[in-house]
This record gives sequence, C-alpha cells and structure tokens, in this order.
Amino acid sequence: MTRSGGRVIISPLTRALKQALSIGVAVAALTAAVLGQVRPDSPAPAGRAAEQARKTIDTYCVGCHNTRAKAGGLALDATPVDAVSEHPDVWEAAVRKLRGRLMPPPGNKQPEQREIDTFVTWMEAQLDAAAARGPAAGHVPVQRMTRTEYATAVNDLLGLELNAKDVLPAEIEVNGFENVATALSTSPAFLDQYVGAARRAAKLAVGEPVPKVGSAHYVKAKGDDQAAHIDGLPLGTRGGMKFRHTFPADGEYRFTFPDLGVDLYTRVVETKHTLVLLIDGREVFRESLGGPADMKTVDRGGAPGRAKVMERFTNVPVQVKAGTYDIAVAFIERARIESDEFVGFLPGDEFSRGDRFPRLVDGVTVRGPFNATGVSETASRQKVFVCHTDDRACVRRIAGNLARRAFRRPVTAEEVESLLPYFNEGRTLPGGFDTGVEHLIAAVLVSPEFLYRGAGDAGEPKGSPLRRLTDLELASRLSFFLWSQGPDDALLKAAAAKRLSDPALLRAQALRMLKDPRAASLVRNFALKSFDLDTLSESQPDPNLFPTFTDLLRQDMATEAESFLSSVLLEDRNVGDLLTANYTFLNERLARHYGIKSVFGPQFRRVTLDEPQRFGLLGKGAMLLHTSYGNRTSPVLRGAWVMGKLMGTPPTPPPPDVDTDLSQPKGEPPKTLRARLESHRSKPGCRQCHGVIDPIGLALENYDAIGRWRTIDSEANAPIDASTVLPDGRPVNGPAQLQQALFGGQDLFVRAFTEKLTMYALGRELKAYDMPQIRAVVRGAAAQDYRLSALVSGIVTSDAFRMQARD
Amino acid sequence: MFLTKRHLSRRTVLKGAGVTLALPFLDAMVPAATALAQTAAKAKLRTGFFYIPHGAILGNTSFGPEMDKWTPSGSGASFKLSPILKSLEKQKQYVTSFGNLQNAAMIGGVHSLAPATWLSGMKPERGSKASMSTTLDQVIAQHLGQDTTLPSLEVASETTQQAAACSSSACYYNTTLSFRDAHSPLPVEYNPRKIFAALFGEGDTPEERAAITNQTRSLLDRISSRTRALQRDLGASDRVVFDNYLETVREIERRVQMASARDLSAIEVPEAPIGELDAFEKQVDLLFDLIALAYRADLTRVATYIMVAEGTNRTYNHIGVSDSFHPVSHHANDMSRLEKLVKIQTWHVERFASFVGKLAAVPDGDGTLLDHSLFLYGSNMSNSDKHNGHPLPTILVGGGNGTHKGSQHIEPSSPTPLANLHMTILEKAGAPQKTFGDSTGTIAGV
Repeated sequence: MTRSGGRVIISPLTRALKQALSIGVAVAALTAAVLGQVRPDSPAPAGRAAEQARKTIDTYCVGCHNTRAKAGGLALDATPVDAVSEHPDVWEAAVRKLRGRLMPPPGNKQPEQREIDTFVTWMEAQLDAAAARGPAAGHVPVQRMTRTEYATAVNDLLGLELNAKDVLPAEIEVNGFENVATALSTSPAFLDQYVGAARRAAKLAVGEPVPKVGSAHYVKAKGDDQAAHIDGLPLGTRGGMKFRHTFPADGEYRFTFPDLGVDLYTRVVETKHTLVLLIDGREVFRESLGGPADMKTVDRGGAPGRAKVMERFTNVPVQVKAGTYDIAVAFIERARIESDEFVGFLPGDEFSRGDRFPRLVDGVTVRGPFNATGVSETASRQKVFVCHTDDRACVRRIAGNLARRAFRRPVTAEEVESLLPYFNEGRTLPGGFDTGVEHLIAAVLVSPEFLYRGAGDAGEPKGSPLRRLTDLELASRLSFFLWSQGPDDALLKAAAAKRLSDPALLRAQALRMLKDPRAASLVRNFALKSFDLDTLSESQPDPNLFPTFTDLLRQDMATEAESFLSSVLLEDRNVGDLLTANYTFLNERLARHYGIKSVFGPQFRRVTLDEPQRFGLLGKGAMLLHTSYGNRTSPVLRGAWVMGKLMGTPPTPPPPDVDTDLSQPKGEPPKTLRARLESHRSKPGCRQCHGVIDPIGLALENYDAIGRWRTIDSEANAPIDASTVLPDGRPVNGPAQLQQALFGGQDLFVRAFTEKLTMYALGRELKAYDMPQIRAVVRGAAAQDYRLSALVSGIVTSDAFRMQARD
Repeated sequence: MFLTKRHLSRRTVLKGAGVTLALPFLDAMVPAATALAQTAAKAKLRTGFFYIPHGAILGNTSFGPEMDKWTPSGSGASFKLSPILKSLEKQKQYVTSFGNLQNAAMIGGVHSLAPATWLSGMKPERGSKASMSTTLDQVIAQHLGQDTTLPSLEVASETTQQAAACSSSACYYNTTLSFRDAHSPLPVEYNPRKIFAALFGEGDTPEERAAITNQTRSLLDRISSRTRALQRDLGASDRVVFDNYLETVREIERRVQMASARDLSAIEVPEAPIGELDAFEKQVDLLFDLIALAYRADLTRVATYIMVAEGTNRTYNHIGVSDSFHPVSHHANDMSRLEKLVKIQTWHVERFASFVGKLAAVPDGDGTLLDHSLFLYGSNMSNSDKHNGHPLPTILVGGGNGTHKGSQHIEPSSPTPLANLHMTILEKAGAPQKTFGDSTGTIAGV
C-alpha cells in the first residue's frame, strides 16, 4: 500500500514481495522482451522499447526539459522512463502533450507521427500496467447539490417548474462544470436565497388556499415577426407569444394586453383582426380589433378614443383552475386576398409607413386570483397529498413519502417525527391543514440530508484507505450523474436490496436510466457546458456589421446545438459523430443564415446536409458565434476552443507582460487578420503556443463572426484563405480537412470527451491516477462504436466511480 | 417564473424588463430630511469597492505620458482631473488619485487572478480548494457591518462566470472580489430582483413579514440541528464543510434578527425591479441605485461592485464602441483602439460619478451620504495589453467621515504596494491592521 499526493493505491503486493521483484528485475525484463509483452506488475522496462522511449525523450524533449533549464519545471533527463509509477503525473502530461502535438513546440525539430505513436503507446502501456496493481480512487468531499440539481430535484419532488437561476446564486464553475464538490461552498447569500426558495417552493406546491392577488408580466421575444406565424402557436395564427404561468388557486384571473400597436395614426386599425387567448390549447377569449368602427374611434377620439378601444383588451376575466398551464396569445391569420384591403408593412414617409395590422408590442400581464374558491387538484398536490385526512397518520404518510424521495434513502420514524412540529406550526395558521403541509414541505427542503449528498449514509468502516461506496451512495452518484437529481423508486429499491454493488446490475440500471427522458439533463448540464455552448447570450455581434443577426437567430443556434447534441448522445450514436455527422436541425431562419434554401417554416426539423460545411460541431453556428468577437472572427479563440473542448489539450494562458503588439506601421493598407496573426507568430515567444492554436482557427476562417459561410474577407477585401499547416507539418485547407487531420482515425476526441464525462460523473477534477481508468473505458467502448451507453457503462463500473478514498 | 414573478405583488413592476423600466430609486424615496437621516447619532461610514477590469490608459502605453488619459494633476484649487475622470468634477474635493501603485499578487494569472487579488493583495495558494485570504471589504464588514442587516453586499452588472477561461483553482478568483475567509469566496449577484429581495425581504404587510420571519427562524433551527446531527459521523474534512455551513446559518440568524428589528417606515420602498435588464447601461445604473438605496436605508455599509466582468466580450454600442471590451483592450498601442478604451473607461467613471453625485445630494446626519462614505474605484491591471500590475489606476472618493481630504494626486516616488492603500483605508474605517497582504506600511497624506 502506498500513498502519493492524495491518491491511494492498494497493492496486492507486500513490500517484501516488491523487493523480491526488483531483485528479479533483470530476469523479468529479459523474459518480457523475449515474450514480447510487458508484465503488468513488473516495474522493469521492456528492454528495447524502453531504450527507444528514452531516445525519443532525449532527442526531442531534453533540450529544454533538463535539469539545468527546467522548462515548465520539468527535468526529463533526470526522470527515468522505467519507473513511471513514481511520476505518473509527469508522464501522463507528456503523453497528453504529444498526442495533441503541443510538444515539441512548433519550430522545433518534430518527430514523425510514427515515432510519437510508438512512444505514446508504450508509455501508456507502462502507466496502465502500473495502475493495474490496485484500484485507485480520489476523495470527493461531502457534496452540496448545485443550484441546477436543486431546482431539478425540487421540480421532480413537487411537480414544479422552477428555474435554477431565479432560485439560488451562481455556482463557481470548474472547467465549465458546476458540480465540482470542492468548489461548492456555501455563503450567507446562498443560505438566504436557499431558505427563501424552500418557503416559496412549498407554497407553490400546495397552492394558496388563502391567496393574495398577484400580478406577473411576460415580455415577448425581442425581434420576433408579428406578421408571421410563431413556432409553437396554433397553426393559422400570426404573431403573439406563448408562456407558462402558474395559477396559485382556482378563481378569476385578469389578462391585459397593454400594447397592441394602436397609436396616433390609424393604420393599425384600418382592417379587422382577431386576437385569441388559449389556455392549454383551449380558447378562452376572442375579440376583434380594427375595422371601420375602431378606426373611427381612434381617428376622432384621440387618446381617450384609443384607450376606449384598448379597454376591450384590458383586465379580460378568465376562470382558471389552480395549476401551471401553457398560455398562448395570437392573432388569427386572415386571408390577404379576401378583400382589397392592404395588410402588411407599408414603406413610405414618416406618417404613412409602418405595420398596418395590430401586433403584440410589449407582452401580457396576468393578475389574480379574484374571488378564489380554493385549490383544486394540481399535479403538485397529487404528488404531495398522498392522503387527505387531517390527522396524524396522514401527516406522517405525507412526511415519510416526501422525506424518502428528498433524502434519497429510506427514512427512520425519528426523521419523520422531526418534521411534524413544522406541520403543527403551519396548521395553526389560516390555511389550516394545507398550510401545515406547506410548512412541512419547506422543512424537508431545508434539510441537510436533502441539500448534501453522501452525508449520513456512509457507514464508514475505519482503517482502510479506500472504501467501496454503499449501495445508496452509488444510487445517488449514478442518478445525479445521469439525471441531475436523486434516484427514482426503481433505483432506490435496487439500492435497498444491495444490488448496485454488483457491477452488472449497476450497469443495467445506468442503461435503463439513459433511456429515460430525465437523461436529457446530460445534454443541458454536461454536454452544453462541456462545449461551452450554454452562454450564447454573451456574444454580441456589432449590429452595424451584422444587421441580419437577431436574438431569435441566436436562439435558433442554441436550439440547433442542443438538438444536435441530444440526437447524438441520447439516440446513442457514436460520440465521434459529434464531429462528423452529416445532419443537423434547422428552421427556415437558421437555414437561410447558413445559405440552405430548402427549409421552410419556423419549426425545427432534422435536415440531412449535402455539403460538409455544416457537418459536426465545427460547422454549428453556436460554436462559431461563441468563438468570435463582436466585430470579427477570432482564429485564436476558435483554435483554443478546438484544443480545449475537442482535443482535451487546452492551451496554457499567455505569460504576463507578453508583447502582443500586432499593429501595423501607419500608412500600410489593411491586412487580413490572417496576415496580422502570421506576423505575430513569427516571434518565437508567441509561436510556441500560437503556432499550435492559430492554424486550427485559421482553417475555420470561412465562417464569419456570426457563423455564415464566406469566401471573401470583407474588411480587407481579400479572398479567405483557409489553408494552413499544422504544427506537425501537415497542410490543411478548410474545416473538413481540419477535422480529418486532427481526429480522423484516432480516438483523441473520444478520450477528451470521456475525461470530461468522468469528471462530471465524479464531481471532482481528474488526476494522473484516473487516466489509466479513462483509457480502459475508451478501449472497452471501442467495440460498441463509442456509444454514450458504452462510455457510461465503463465509467460507472470503474473503481474511480465505485470507490472513495479517505481524505 | 418564480422569484421573479409574483411574490412581491405590491411592488411588482408591470412594465417589460429592459424596455421601459427606469427606476429613479433615489428620487422615489422620501424627500431629504427624514427621521432616519436625522436620528443617526453619529454618522456611520459607508464603504464601497468599484471594480472595472482591463486597466486604464495611463502613461502605460508606448506613447508614454502624452497618452495618459487617467492621471490628474495639481492639488487643492489647482487639482485638475483627466479626461477619463472628468465627470467627477463636481465632487473633486472628495477625490484622491494615486500613481505608482502595484499589485504583485495579480501577476501571472493573466485575467484569472485580477478580481480576487484586488482587495486581497496576496496571491492565492495553488490547489483544488479556494485559498485566498479575507479581502479588504470583508475585514471592514467584520468591523462595520455587524449593525446592519447585510454585513456586505456583493453585486455585478453581469454574470462573472465568463470569458476568462479557468480551470482548477483559478475558477475561484475571476468571479468575485470578496473572500469571507481564505476558503470562502462570496458569490456576486447580478439579478437586481434578488438583490432587492436580500435588502428588503418579502411580505407586503407587517403581519406577513412577521409570519415569514417566524417560519424562517424555525427553518434555520432545523438546518442547525440536523446539520449537527449529520456531522457526527463524518471525516475531518467533511466536518469542516459543515462547520462552515453552520457558521453561515448563524450569520443568517443574525440577519433575520436585524431585519425584524429594522424600521423602514421612514423609507418609501420603491417597486421591486423585475430582473436583469437587457440594456447594459440601465443595468449598470440600476445596481448603483440599489447600492445607494442600501446605504441610504442603512441596510449595509460595505458594498463591492464588479461593473463589468473580467474578460468580458461585451460591446458598448450605446457609446459608439462596437468592439468587444476584452479584445479591444488588447490595444497593441493602436491609437484607434486606445481611443475606444478611453471611451469605455470614461463611460464607467461617468456612471460612478452619477452615483457619487446622488449620494452628495442625500443628507445624512451632519452632512451628506458622500461625506460619510469612502469608495475605492479602479482596476487591478495596468496595461491590458500586457496583463501587468503597475501602475494601477486607482482613486479614492468620499469624505470618509472627515478622514479623507481629496483634491489631490499622490504619487509615491517608488512603486508601492496597493495593499498600502488598503492599510490606509482600514485605518480610516477604524479597523487598522498591522499588515495587510504584501503591505509595507500606509500611504501618508491621504
């Protein structure tokens, strides 16, 4: 048993046995060489292969990484290649740099790919062999739910639709992930919001038997087209908007449409239009606007006249039962040829031009309830009220049911009892039984057994440095990994029956859960974050340079990215398809943006692509927009994105006081971005990193800053040149060749993907000792085409997932 | 649909977010001479720390002093503000500017260390956990903040979780200015509605507020008792996690106590903002207004404000700069980019100056709120093209309860740690320390 840097290895070999082995090293090495294999438990090199590896290091690395220069703090001349288990971190890093061809730095003598492959294969075999001596796992401290997990769990527990962002403060993201345990601290701001969230969620779930009149305003999307059909609204309508609203009690609610475009001039009311309001698809209000009578009122009545017309759209009463519903507001599309009336947009002078039809300008306000008559059965109440009698037994049942699901394990009678005072406290208030239950729910939600996982159910046997997770701990780790929330009944049952400690049954549960709709959380909370595509709203293209860019287009790009990731991951395709798939998801707006003319209508659908321009993630608007600046592309950002997100080899940040002067002498004609970057790469200090980063980004220069395909750089008025030379000397022209050169025929991307997936699954950063397990997962998944299910199976049955080191 | 929609009904704003929402918070409040303003026996010092990323155009470009748009000159009556600081003209008797300050702690982190080392003056330790030190604002909060509902308020105009890519421990240091202790970064809030809720709580009537307070108290009781019960079975490091949690519980208990005792009757609480505003310029102002409101109602005496996120790609189309802030900050000594940066920096000072101007108009005890304030405004980077930490653009603003004399530019003869200014601020806040960060003393004559 040895201990190094927080990592614990249980070795089956005793110290004495090891000594005996090292005496027999020479013999073992010889045997291994003869048999052409490496003995897994032998610390000795396999003769010539080791010599060859040493030679590779000496030829290409030791020039800088030596005892004297110590570039990067590394002295590879003094690090023997035949004792990798002493420096797994050094060699794992070396292998990574070589695989990504980050080293040797561009401009230095480069090894042949064959030589790299030989070295990497040999070194990885050494590292894997060293790791095979015993299981290894890291320590994950007691883990608070992230705000996303909290909202997901509460929504599932209570049938609500909370948005994590509105409920709790932002989390610190490590490598883009929220769920890294060491980063999940608590602060007064967190706790303040957390207790408030529990109170309010409980109130929403129970409904308000004694409700207050409240009001909510929903704003329509910016830049939408009120003249055209809006996706998601009933066919045959135009304009309008949709949203979801929670009605706290049965009663009357009043809808107001504050601005329908009726203004000083009469053009909007010249013709008759009809506005409809639907709740969960059922029409509850229909009223016309425009036509001769309204026109007269608006024309002659001035402001009071307009107000009179709008009265019909103010405080529209609708009876609604408690619950959360889809609300849709739209205008009925009218035939443009039924009369010779002009409906549309009229260009012209200031007084006559504009939209000649009413439209939703601002949004919709909902106020209520008035004359509330109580709370009828809602989805939330059905989940909470497993019985309805106002007595102790029923309260205990409600408490036990909630606590078991919230705490992700069977609960004790004592735990149920501890919740009852909260019921009693609320029971005395005007809402009676319901308010009692409301307070009880809030008490469940603030329990640390809910907020923290891995607390209280460990049953720690002392003494051993590494322990297997209990079945219940495994159940939680598995379900937070795949669903971002606690286990369902089936998984809890399997855990209670101690079946999860059997890897085959654990795997079977994982595969079952991957097929569940809740696995969509992997797309939102893992994939989108892993590729950093969840923050598109931060990209703000210059409206003068990119007038066609709108918030809706941004939203379309996000939809495309999410649909694409979903289809590859949740339909269980080869994860490599993320880079190569010849299909995507488009609506008309995005298709036109891409120059694809065969897609019509606002709804998204799967489209098979003829041209490789939009294949895989490299061709997706979301990625291209995200890696651009407001007024131009950034080959550096794009190159760094490819390296960090796809290759698993993020570039190191620039040193301080680095000279970044890219300016050109005054009086010269403007150069292309490419030319400016090239002059910068000629400086040795920059070249070391940018020699790797920039060529990758330059190969993507055919995409402009908002992801359109282009052949001309409009700023420099010069043709786009997307041909570059990768650090290893291979020429590449354009995205398809780049993809092929970087990822074709090797598993670089699958490895990087698996690393990130493992980090997300464990809630901790990976260490050198995890890498052999990652490689094993990737090897194991190869036969199953690197499907997500195969990678997940490998991860959940690994020691890293199923074990825990003591801290 | 949740926090942002219906729970603060009386105060709900019906207009669309970002479109029409203009909140003249300070104007909406009770006219000047209120009971609250006058009953204050002794004026309480308010402190604030206002952060702008990516340095400033001082004499740090290849053009040298001729392109210095930041540094003022002269002192006293001849104190002359620079173009970037021009908007502080009316309050310049409250302004001291500093030259030759440096912060060694931010060096080497490019952007990632700049926010958190601004008020710490020390480099964090490497490792998988956050490891900084208590920041200046939090030292002051421990001293000044215990009599107010919120010991301190941490806000930002936009999510700070961006651009400056981070991995591992660096992630702790580019999102916040504030560390409560070495391992406790404080999250910044950018949703004005949540900030409002933190300041004023919930409930429309006294009865409702009392009911919420009661429920909150008993929920906090549950958290402490259950947490202590769980803690028994845990290993050492997990126990520390829960110790920290329990400490936060006690802080919130204190807060609830303060909140139920506070009297807001003299303040007409304005309507709650509906959420984050789409228009950046309005969002920046709204957060300034919320801070001013918190000072005025004495809900906090310490605030930190990240006016725009480190490494942000935000554009400033509203002042005619369509370039993203971070890339244009790599100006490469290109004159047109330098001019754009000057525009951005000038605009931020203008927003700050407008806030300062509002405080100057609010009577507070024997003077104005500005007389009883001490604000640090600046960046933890000098030349954004080089990511370096000397000289840092830094000004101190406010009367400091009579401890701060303005109208001057102080330029130590040799590079001086920023932490020396922090020491000076601590002295003025009545919380002097022997050392702070890499300080070597205080700065004289401030």
